[in-house]
Amino acid sequence: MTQPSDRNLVDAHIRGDTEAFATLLRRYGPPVLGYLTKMTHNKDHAEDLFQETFRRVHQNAGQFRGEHIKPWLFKIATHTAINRYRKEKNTPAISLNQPLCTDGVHCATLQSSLAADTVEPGRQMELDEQRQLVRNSLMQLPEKQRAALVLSYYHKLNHSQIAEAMDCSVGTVKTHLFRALKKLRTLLPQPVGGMQ
Amino acid sequence: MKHVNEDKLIQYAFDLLETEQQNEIARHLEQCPDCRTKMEQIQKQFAVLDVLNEDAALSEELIQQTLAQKAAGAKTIRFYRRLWVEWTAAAAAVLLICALLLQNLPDTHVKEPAPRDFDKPVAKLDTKDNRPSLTAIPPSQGGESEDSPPVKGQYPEGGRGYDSESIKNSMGTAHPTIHDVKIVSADAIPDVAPFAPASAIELVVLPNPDKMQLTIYNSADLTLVRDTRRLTLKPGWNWLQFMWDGTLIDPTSLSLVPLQRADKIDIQQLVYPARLKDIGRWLIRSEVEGSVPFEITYFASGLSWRAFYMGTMNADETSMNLKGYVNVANNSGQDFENAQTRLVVGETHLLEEIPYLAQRHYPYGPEIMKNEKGVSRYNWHGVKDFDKKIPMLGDMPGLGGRFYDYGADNADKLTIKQIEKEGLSEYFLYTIEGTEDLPNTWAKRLPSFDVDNIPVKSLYKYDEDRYARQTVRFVSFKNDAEHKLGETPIPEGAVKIYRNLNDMQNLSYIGGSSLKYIPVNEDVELNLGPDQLVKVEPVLMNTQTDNYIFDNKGNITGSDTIETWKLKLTNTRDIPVEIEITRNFGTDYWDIELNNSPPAKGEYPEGGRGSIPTYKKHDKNRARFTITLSPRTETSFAYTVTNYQGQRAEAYVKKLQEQQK
Repeated sequence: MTQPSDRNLVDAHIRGDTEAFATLLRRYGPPVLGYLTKMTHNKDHAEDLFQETFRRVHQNAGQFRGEHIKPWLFKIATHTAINRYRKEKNTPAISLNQPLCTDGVHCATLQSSLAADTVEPGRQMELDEQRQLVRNSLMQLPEKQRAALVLSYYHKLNHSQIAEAMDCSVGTVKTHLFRALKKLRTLLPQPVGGMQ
Repeated sequence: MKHVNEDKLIQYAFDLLETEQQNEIARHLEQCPDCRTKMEQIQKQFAVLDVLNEDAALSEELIQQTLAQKAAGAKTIRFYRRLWVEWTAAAAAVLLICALLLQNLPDTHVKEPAPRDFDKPVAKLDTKDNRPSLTAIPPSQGGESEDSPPVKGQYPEGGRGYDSESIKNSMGTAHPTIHDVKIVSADAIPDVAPFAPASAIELVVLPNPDKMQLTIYNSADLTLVRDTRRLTLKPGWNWLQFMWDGTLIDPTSLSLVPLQRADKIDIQQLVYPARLKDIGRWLIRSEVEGSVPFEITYFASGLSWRAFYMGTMNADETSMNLKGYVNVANNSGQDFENAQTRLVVGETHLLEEIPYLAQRHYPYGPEIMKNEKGVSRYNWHGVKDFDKKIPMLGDMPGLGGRFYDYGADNADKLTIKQIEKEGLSEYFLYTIEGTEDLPNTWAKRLPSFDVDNIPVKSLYKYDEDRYARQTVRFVSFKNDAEHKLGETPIPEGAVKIYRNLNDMQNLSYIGGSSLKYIPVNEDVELNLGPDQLVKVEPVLMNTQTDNYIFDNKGNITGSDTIETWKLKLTNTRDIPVEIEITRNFGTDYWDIELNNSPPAKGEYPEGGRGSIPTYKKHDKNRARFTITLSPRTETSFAYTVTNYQGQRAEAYVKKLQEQQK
């Protein structure tokens, strides 16, 4: 059975089909939330921004042109993250490492969902450590560099899609990416075995 | 072969180069194992990024929340909230605006179900109902007040908040000079209080406070603000809104008390509306129609004061003129105009930190207590001896009452709850005469006292344990009547000491120090720092051992160590100086002897060098010498100290015990 295309879903949503939006949300929610989580390193902020993003998507669906909604979604998410998160930056952040909940619902989001796979505990600890290191490194990048890198590396958007999402030229995207990578080169651990 | 640099390799790895360059590097890598290794290193390093290569699991709860919040209602809340915050922030920056919500609620209204829609944005009220209550409101204000919180562009200056000019204009008309009020029957007021509005139904900007009083407790970053304003009440239920966004006030300390007609006005509750930050609304039941003075009190933080002192010593450094200043700074986020300013000296222990309280998300209300008349009042912690005659800095001689006592004649009006507490009795209250304008982020320096000819004593101290090998200068006096002070404690502050060189009033800077809080009748000793003009140089002249004690086997079980020290003293100043030298012998068992046998007449053999050195045992292992040196002299004295060791020490202890008997 073929899935309805993004375009069809958006059109259905504009016509008033309430299920269409839910389908979009389920289809693209995970990458968008993943993106926002990497952007903020704070689950509460990320979920807040996530809701805000989809609220804007809901409102502005009529402005969507084209076939694939993913770049457009990331554009809205980027705008939301960079503009709004900046305003609220001063509120204390909660680290993702700390147990955030007791209800078991939210905990299932990141680490524990992965931990549920059959990874041996020692390896799991190492993985958690690495994740923390990568997250911390990402958080040390300026917002725009972080956005460009996350979109490119994790969400496989090409440079022109990133340029569209970030409202800048492809050249600027490349500059952001290069700077981000250069900084990460100093932040991330040197691979074992070192240089000769 | 030229290697590819690391930057290019990174760019190559992530496809950031032009196709041509990309291909070029690809070709180079095929041929160059070095660059290939480097490339692999880079790829390996970045591979660690893959550990985050997963999408976050989207919980069903979040999906449902997101689906639910896209409904139009939620959007309006956000908009509404943001609008409020913008507006209140701007308003608070100008001054703390108090707004009276005049919600007319005749019987018909009460019977209707009260509007329960919190989420509804600020609504326009049916103006017909409100007309009667608007009689005292100027037309310009009345027109605006019917609107929702101001929208950008609606106001002349920057479009947000009320501009100060319009407030001033409104004052004249809003409050007629005759404050006659009309009393209405209590029966005419509906029994049921109206529902607390979640939105501003109608706003009337209140005039500037008639009277403002600041009491700044320095020790706790605490200021008690009480301001008196005339509020125009209508009979029945009134809502008064108070906003403190952008300021540092403690919302839990807010209190509102009518100063007149207290028996006819009942302040029922203080409501902190849901989802609105930094807003409190009082529900007032009034049997009065017209303008009534109210007093609003609250604690704020961000105001501070510091004391400064400038001491000018006379040429021979025996007396000093001491000037005190007070610097009051306002960083509270509010402007205070015409505020009477009072400064409290002393320690405050009992309070939570106001900035913390001020920035809490939601406040809670203070407890309500009833007075004899049954009028609800909010209480706060007060100063114990508030209604007594409080000594002012101005009572000090030489000032002529620059400060005056405010506490006494206003105490009856201020009616604060008195708490008997021992710890508070050390409070002193200084009141600055008249009123001050203290805009936000401004500071002011005010003179507090000026006392001439305080007798002071200069002393140079030499103590290697405390000040290393240098002399340190001290000036001391006492906060008592003999020193022309002693009326009040002296607040902690920085002090700078100058010396008047000659009749031309040329000053030389001697040193700076800091004064600790000095209670009445306490000694003051100011450390003015090391001084190069007076020197003490100890020189070890001789060491020997003596009086050995042996046991049966011929081992040494006790001995004396005898050291002879010479202290070389130099005074290059043109006035005589007194020096106190403290020597630590590092042992509990010692005897000391001054080598120079003092001349009978109290003069040094060579004449005119100063006084004879005297010494006394300071504590178990230190002795203290004092000596006065004549101007521009150099002298020395020597002492011999005997340290007793082993059995000799025991013998020494025995000897001491016998002496004591």
